[in-house]
Amino acid sequence: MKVAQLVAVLAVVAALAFVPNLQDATGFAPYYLIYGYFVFFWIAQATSWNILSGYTGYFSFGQGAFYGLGVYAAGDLVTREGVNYFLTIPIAGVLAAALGAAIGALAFRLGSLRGEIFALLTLAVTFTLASVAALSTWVDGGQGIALTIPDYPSFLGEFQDLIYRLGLAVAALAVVTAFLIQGSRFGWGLFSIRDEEGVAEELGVPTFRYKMLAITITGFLGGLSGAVAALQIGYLTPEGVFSLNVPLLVVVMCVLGGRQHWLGPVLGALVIYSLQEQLTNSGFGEWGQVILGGILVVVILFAPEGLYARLRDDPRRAVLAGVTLVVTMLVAAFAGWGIVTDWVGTGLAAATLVLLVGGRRGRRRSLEERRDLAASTMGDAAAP
Amino acid sequence: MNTYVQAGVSGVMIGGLYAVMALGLSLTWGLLRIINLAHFALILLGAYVTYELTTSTGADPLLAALVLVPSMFVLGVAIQWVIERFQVDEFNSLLLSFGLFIIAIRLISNIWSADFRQIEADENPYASRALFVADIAFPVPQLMALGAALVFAVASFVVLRRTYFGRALRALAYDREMAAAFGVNPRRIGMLAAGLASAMAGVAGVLIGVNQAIFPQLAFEWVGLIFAVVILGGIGNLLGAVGAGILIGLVAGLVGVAWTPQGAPLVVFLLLILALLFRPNGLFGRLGAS
Amino acid sequence: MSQSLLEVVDVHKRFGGVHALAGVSLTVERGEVVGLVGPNGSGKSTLISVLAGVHAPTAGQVRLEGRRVDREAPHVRSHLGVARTHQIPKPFESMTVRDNVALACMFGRRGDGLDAARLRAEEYLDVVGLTARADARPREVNLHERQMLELARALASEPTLLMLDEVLAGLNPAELDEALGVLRRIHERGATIILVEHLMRVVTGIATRIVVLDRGVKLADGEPGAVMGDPAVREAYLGREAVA
Repeated sequence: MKVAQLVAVLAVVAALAFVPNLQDATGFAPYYLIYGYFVFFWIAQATSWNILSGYTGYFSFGQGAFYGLGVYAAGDLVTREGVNYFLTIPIAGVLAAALGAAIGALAFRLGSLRGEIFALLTLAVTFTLASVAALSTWVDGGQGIALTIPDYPSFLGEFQDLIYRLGLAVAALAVVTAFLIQGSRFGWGLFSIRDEEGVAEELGVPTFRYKMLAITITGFLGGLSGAVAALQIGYLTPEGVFSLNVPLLVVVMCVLGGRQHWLGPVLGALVIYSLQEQLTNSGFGEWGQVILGGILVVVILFAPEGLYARLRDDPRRAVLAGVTLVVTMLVAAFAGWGIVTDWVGTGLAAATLVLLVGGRRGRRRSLEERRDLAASTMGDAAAP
Repeated sequence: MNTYVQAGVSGVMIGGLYAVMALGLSLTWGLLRIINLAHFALILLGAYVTYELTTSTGADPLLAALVLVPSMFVLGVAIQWVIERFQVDEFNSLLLSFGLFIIAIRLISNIWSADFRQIEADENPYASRALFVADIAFPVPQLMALGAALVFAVASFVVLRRTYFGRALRALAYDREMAAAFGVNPRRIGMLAAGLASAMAGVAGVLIGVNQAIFPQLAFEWVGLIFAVVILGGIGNLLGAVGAGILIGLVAGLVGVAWTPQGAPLVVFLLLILALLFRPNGLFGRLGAS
Repeated sequence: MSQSLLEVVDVHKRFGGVHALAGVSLTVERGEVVGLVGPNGSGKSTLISVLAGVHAPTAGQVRLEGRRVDREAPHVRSHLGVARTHQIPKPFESMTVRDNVALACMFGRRGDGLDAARLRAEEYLDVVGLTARADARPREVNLHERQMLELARALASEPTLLMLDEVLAGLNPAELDEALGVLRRIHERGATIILVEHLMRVVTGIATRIVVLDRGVKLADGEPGAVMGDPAVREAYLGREAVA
């Protein structure tokens, strides 16, 4: 079962890796490869975030720190130190992993940093890195950094082929990592930490070591993806790199997709990115954020468990969503609305709507649960 | 030497402005366990409404408070009603209000554009006025902010200690179920507190409008700074928030003179990291942490 | 080597100004069932937490089979054979009842793999009578079942020392008899038990020895009959309980 899933994931990755080769035969526009790159980028970032914050429950607003460190590691090492770009990708991953380990060593060692305090710590780290980047002449120099396209073997094709495949490689690594963790002993340990950390520790889960490992993996993947993004961005400024875009969007994506399963961030990234792109292309770019905010509000109020859980727990609705996706795409295609990505975007939006609307289940606590809760609060107060 | 004194004095007064912005956030976070990011959007909205009313009617900008305080109160109550109705927990409240925050910021830039806006000097009777002690300047708008911070802090201290509402609110913060068992209506008290917090956001908006130029991205810049104030002050500790606001204003002002103004955020955020690590209950103690 | 299973030597624990444990010494031999009793605030739960490793003692030593463990993390003590239950059940809400127990099999002393752990979980669910609820989520079962889940999870880490913190609180008489039967079976399987309990009937019904704590010090320690007859115990325990 698990092996079959893994094979399926790898088969999808292999098929996607082959897509640029079809360009000559079908003549599709390079735009699609760049679109694909962005989907991969967001899948990688969201999955990276989810390993720490979804699996372990340590909610982070600091994804921008790992991402930004990765971007600047690549940018500065290439332009200032003359390091080969492809070498900077793993270096960026290791640096961001080290940053994650440093944050973890401080926050987890001191124990009490849970919940919102941990989240704000990660936000403060991001702001601090942004200030350092803006101040340091080595990092930015006050004029931004222009990263040129490196030399690479010609069989890798055009620039868009290269960036597409780099993005795919990082996203595949992230998703496979998340998949393997989920089914492993380590993954179970992380889930138990999310549910009841104290109990997990008492039952033998080495919680400190596991959390350290989780935040290090998150940092590594975030940094890798950042280094690839540096090449795509080309011109780096501290305001652009350390904007709140990355840390906030990954949160929205994972909340929408669902945080307890490796597929959640993949779904969330796909839906949110395609929706954003769709709105931008239709000239509603300035409404994109309004709709993004609206999605977040609706999801929190009506489906806080996310899309994946909806698909899994309600097969009829899943089928309905699937049918909606296909029908909407076909209608869009026959009506000639824009290009393929527009059809996909419209279909995904409609299917998401079907999944989200109505059927709100189990959110309100039953009377009995509330009484238990009350009893437990009293019990805590009574304990010495 | 004088530049340092002047920077310190300005820092303290700007710190008062930070404190006014932080008070409402600290109140709802500490007492209702709601982290309301929309608070920043309400402040920004307040600043824009102040700007709009003043430029279109030519009235005294402070009069905008007459409109803003009641309408913000209602908005705050409405948001809290939704949170209660759907039983949104502490963490989801952060996400929910984040959604409202980005919606509001985007709407504001659609209405007023992303450009700088500032109340014209001839319509702002306070802008160019300043008191002087020796040759240290005390600009009137900043003095008003500091004054408002002190008045709010003392008033809310008295309300929390002396009134039924204040005691009920603190009882809720310590133990919601227990307080409910003693006849406190958590919904009504919660909505009242959220309304008051938002009303303070309205006042903060007026003060921002009087004090400085405004643009939508400003709200993002506030987030880190004001969270630093709330946490350093001790979440839910309103007097602490004023103390922390002044401290941060002072530090930022002095760093700006001694090093470079761009260095101020770095110092503030390092301060915040240290505080989170070593004093997660703030410099002045957190409400509820015994 | 006839090392005692557990030795507690002059353990102190302060929380700020509160002296929750003021010099407690205690030795537990293998196979004992020690009833730990005392009025509210006497330090029973604090002692359990110190033994489990949640709190480090302010002073004093804890030895397990002769080895000092008072600075070891809780998960290390779990691997050395210590398990405890909580007064208020704290299940892993995202996992089924079976997986809650399987997790303890995976990370406990046995260190089972995932599939083996799920199989073995059935065994412990059977011991506490939860087999029928194996696929339910913790929030779907009642308080009694949650308490039994708490117990099954502790058992699944294969402890040599099992500490039960009011695991029978709030049960009705029928459930209580059933739960007592479960505890006897666990004892017969060879576990040493420390039982924190308010209900005298439970303690006297199963304990081989009773330890009384009052305001952080040990007031009495011995045979159930002798301890319950001790006038100092009656005054400290029953006197104040009766007033409360």
